[in-house]
Amino acid sequence: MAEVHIIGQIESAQDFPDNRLCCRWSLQIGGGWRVVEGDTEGQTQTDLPITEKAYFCHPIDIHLATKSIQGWPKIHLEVWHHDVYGRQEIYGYGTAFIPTSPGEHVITCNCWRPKGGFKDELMQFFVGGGLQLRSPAPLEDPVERQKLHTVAMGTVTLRLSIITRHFDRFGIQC
Amino acid sequence: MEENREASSVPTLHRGARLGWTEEPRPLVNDEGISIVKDKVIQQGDLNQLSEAEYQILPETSQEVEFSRENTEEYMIEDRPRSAGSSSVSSRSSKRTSISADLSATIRQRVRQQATAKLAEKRGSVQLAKRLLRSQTLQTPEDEGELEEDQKIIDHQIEESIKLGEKYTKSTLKTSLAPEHVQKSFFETESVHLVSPPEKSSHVIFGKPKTIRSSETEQFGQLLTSYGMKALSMSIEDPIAKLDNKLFASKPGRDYSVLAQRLGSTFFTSNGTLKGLEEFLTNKPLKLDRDEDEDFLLVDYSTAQNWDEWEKQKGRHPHRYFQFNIDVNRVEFDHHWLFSVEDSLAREVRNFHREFEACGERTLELMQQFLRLQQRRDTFVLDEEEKGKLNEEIEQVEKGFQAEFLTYRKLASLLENSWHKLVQHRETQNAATANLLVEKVESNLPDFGEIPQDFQSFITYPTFLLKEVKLAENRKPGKTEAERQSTMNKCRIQIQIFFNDILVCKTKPTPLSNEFIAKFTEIYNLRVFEKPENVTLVIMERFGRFGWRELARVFVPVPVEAEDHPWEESSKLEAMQFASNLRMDKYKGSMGSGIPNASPFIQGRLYCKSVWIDSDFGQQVRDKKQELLKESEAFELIPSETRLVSDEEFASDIRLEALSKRFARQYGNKHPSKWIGLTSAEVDHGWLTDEFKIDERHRTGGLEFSSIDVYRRAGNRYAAMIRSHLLEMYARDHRMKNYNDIVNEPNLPTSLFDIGSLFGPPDLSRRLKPMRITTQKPQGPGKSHYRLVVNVQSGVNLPERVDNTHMQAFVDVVFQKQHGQTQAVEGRNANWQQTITLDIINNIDAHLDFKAITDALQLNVYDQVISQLEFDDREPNTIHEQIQKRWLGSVSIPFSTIYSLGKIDGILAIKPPLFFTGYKISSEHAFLKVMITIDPPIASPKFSSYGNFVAGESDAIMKSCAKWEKQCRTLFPDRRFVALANDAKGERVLVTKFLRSIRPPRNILSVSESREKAIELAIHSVSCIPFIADPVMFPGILDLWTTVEQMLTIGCADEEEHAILLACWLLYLGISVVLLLGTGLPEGPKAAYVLVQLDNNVCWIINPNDGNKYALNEPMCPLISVGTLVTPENVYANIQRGSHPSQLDFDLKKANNWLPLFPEPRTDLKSVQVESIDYNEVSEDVLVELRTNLEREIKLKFDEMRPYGIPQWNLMASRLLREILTNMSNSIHVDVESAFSQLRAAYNISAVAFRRPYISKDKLLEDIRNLNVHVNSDQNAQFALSLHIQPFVNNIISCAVAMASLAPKA
Repeated sequence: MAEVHIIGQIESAQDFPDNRLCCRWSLQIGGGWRVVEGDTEGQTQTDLPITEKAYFCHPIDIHLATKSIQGWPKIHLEVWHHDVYGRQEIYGYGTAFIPTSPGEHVITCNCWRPKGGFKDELMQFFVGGGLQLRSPAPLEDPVERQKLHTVAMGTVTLRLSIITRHFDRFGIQC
Repeated sequence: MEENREASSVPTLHRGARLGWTEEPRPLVNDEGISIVKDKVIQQGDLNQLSEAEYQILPETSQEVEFSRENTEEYMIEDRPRSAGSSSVSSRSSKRTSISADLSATIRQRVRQQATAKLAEKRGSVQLAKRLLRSQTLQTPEDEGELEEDQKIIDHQIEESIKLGEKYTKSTLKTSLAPEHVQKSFFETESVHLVSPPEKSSHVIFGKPKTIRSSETEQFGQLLTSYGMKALSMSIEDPIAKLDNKLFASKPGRDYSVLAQRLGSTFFTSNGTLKGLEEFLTNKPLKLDRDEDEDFLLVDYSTAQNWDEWEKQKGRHPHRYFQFNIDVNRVEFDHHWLFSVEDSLAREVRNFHREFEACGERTLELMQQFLRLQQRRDTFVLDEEEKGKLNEEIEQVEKGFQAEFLTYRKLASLLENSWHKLVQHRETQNAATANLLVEKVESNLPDFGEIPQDFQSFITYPTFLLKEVKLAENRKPGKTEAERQSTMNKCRIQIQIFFNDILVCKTKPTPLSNEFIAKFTEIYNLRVFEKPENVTLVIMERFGRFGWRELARVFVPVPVEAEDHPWEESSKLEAMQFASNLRMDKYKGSMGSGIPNASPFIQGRLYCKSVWIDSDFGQQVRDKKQELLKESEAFELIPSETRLVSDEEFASDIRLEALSKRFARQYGNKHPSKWIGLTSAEVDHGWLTDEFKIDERHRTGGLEFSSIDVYRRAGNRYAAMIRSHLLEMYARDHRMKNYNDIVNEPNLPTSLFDIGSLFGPPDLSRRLKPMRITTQKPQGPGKSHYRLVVNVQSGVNLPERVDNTHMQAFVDVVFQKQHGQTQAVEGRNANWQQTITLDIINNIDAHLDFKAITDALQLNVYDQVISQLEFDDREPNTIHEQIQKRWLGSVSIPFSTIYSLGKIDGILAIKPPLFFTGYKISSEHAFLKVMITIDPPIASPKFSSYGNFVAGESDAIMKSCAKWEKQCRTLFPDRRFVALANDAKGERVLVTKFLRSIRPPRNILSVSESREKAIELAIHSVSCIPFIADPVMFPGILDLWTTVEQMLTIGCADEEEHAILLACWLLYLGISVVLLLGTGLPEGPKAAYVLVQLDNNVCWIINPNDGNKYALNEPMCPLISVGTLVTPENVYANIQRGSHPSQLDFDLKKANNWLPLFPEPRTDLKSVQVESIDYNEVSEDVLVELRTNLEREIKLKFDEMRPYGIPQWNLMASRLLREILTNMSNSIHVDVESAFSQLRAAYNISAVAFRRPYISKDKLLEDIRNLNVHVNSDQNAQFALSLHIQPFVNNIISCAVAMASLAPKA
């Protein structure tokens, strides 16, 4: 069977309205995949920067094995904002595929948040908080996603190194 | 090759001109054994280039055409032009196009001319040199000179080859070539274009493209596969699609037709897109018409929250469950193997009656409908059309009615028939067992007159009533019949509910009623976390010794809709038919089942109903179902096209397995990281087997000894599993680390601190006050050798000999099968003062991990007796004596206690024998004073306290607990203060909640003589519950308390659970009870005792583990220190100076002695224990099985232990022993000495007995071995054995063993 190592980090987040952020992530894999080693979900520290970006440098080290080429792993991100009162609110969702070719990659994951109606937006503006997805289904399902209105919020940069193994055995060139 | 590549760049149009060939039907094979011969090849693409004579086909050059099968589909043509004059050419078997004889000369001439002209032109030119270089064979300078001579040879060769060629080409000549005149004209016209040929004849033979027969093309085409944009894209072209927006056109964005041709249709959908690529559902951009505020159920507004709250809200277990209710009502048997003939007839009657009634109802309904319609027709004014319709309808209803009525009558006659049969049968048998009576009721309703005849007859049709009657007195059932009925009463039916093939619930075993109906009428609420694959009800039956056996499985349909009021009367039970293929013989007059030609198989109906309580989930299930229906074709999770390896291969990869195991263990810290190879071959198989090894140590191995053992083992494993699971869960939880672990934040220096720091830290070591060096824990795989040092000091209150001779007591110390003995010392309060050292062997792992040692240190006290042996005449002047060791008691200390305490220095209570002939066992406890340490000294293990647990209590309680514990710990850091304990779910729960009055089993309740007796029995039952043996059980690792119910189900418990069970039972008996938690011997820091206050102000401190009880002021009480006292309402910490119970004041009102957790006792706390517990009686069969097995096994072992002589078993003594044991277990006082008086006339008897909880066979055998009865060198010695098993509830068994050795008197 083929194996994939994902080694890297969630490097930074930028262009968000505010940079006081933390990022929760989880790796989604298809049915034919199996996590051999490593944690598939986690949360970065909350960065309260005075710089342009929020830096996390949150390490990711996962070893996967697969029996199928389907369901290539992807990473779901949730960006949370730490507001001035020390409360948490959602600032964005994003997904990015893990690169399929070996080597080092810098991945820019653009994040968005669901846009609500006038009342919601008003609430959000004055009270804080925000619309959250009820389930991560829209991140997976394009049909669900089309129902959403979103607001682009910013980007999260990941730096991932990929090592693939044994894909050549099956005639797959990564 | 070079040319080929050049040529391939030319446009396709010209390609045809370049290559033309025919395939010969008969290939020529030469002696080199190669090549299918092609006839002529004209190379060098372009016609335009031809005129420039750019080509270089030489007559000498045999055009070697090889078909190399590089690819099964495609042939590659390889042509290597050879230079002129190369002699190797002649050997080539080649064939030329032969043209008719007259033409050949001309052609030859021409070709020669062309070639020479070309050669002349090129000679010396750079171009030629290049070409020659390319053509692989180097041209030597001699070639030029030899040209002239060569020509003749070449001519000859050409002619020869033409002749040769004629043989083969004649047949194909006509078709493969154009008519001659055409060819001729071609060459003639061609020649005009050519540059004027030089005088010398050309070396070039010119071939012309040939026309190809269509059949040949086909033939070759079969070998070739060509792909192109065709067919597919054409067929789906849609003129409208062009008009549409391209992005959302239903046409695939890309044309995959070439791919489709190559790979076949497996990858493609019907409209030409690749499978798995999302197709657009519409051909318009989607603009949802939505209101600004419309909710698509995708998002929720949530306010910004503080981090702490956020955590709590989305806690660690966000499981959502759905409630699934199953109503199991009853089982009705249509046939059961206990059916008598009469029963079966009665059942038939019943069935017919049921059908009859149902049919009657249907008929009645139709009749009513008919009447309604008729009335409508008659009363309303209707137009023709409506009238017609109505008439039609009426007609239909009438027809339906008539059909139903027919069956109704049929059923009636059938019912009557079977009733008659039954009556007949009853008359012949003269006994009615089935109390069924059918009454025919003639209708005496008045004639309605107006309704049709059919209806009239239906109304007046006689109906039947079923009646239950009491058996008439005079009709006493026969003997066999009575027997059958009594067996029927013994028969129990149970239904087990399986959810996704996992057993979730069992009903109570229910007896069959006389009508063979088992009524359960219970509703089971299942909390469902996963999708129901199948829900199965398994009908089990137990009869006598057969145990439970499966009758049938019934699959319950999972409802799709949830009902709001599911249990209203309207909701009907579903009758599910079932049948069994169980074959039973006739039994006491019953019919049996499955006997061919005699009785049918067991069958019946199960009435049940299943309902979802949550509507949401029902919807989900329905959606899923529809989805499944859609893709009804064989569904694969991973389509075969994208699969790389098979599931088996994937699952069995040893390397991945090892890697993931290592990763999982990283937290458990059981094993250090080991190297794992890069390929499966390099992986150490130890990774996979490691776990088994550890497990195997706790299994007795081999076949299951008895059902109790199986139960025990399963329970033990389960208990260990819960604990290790919890442990792992904690370890995995990264949040276990708190802020201070990660961030080291030094306090801001205060002014005071600044001054202090100037003088530096105080010097801790002072010359005259040396400080103890703290012991270090061994680092890594220490090679150092560890020993157990046991200093046996003295014994107190040992049993004493009746004959007043002096005792010669000694102590045998056993650890990991190593023995050490003290000297024999006189007296019943012996004083040994002797040190014994034993090695600690840890064979679990290379490095010593003491936590993994589950062995116990056992101290056996023996009395040494010297007895005479028979005098042997052959050896005069010798005295024959033997030393006999008589077992006076033992005590065992788990290694974990020694390890966690570091040093044991105290008094241990000895478990004395039940009786021993020749010894007086005092009612006072016997003690052994010992000191045990490990050498070299090691630090007691540090246990991390899991700070970040899941709180099971409200914030206020948690806070006050933390405060209380902190406060106590500052006062007495070493005492054990427990306010919270983990329950099985891993939540921290107040310890008081574990105490609740729970009804004890019946045998304890039924003790009527005195309260003390009842308490004693309760203590004894509790002490018979086995302990969990697992490294996970190491004290301090995990404080997990299961509830009483869970514990009784599992069947084994740890120290605290024993105490809780006892306390709960005693609370029910109305005795005031408190729980004492602290440190004791031999339990170590896990000790839990129960303090009981009786009415007459007598207090007992009870150790529920061994069943000993001590007075409050007993200084020998092995509970060394009391830390916490738990009552059902409050928790108290012992903050008195002393900690031994004998030094304590137990007045809880004094707050400066006992610090309460809550200022006032709280009664509002809801206990975690259930109100009442169903105790299962230990089955009689199991006991019989266990006893016989054990007896056999003991005798077998006994034989093995005496290799020098087969023991003679004295049956009379055995019987005596059994009597004594039975009497003792019924707490009848037995005078052992007098019981043996009869036997003493003939034998010198030494009998010993002990009582232990039954834990496992091996444990019992070990105890028997410790008795040392088998060591007897007397040739004539006889032995006796008796075993008495006393069951309590839930497989808790106490086992008493008596052994005797008898020496015949001379």
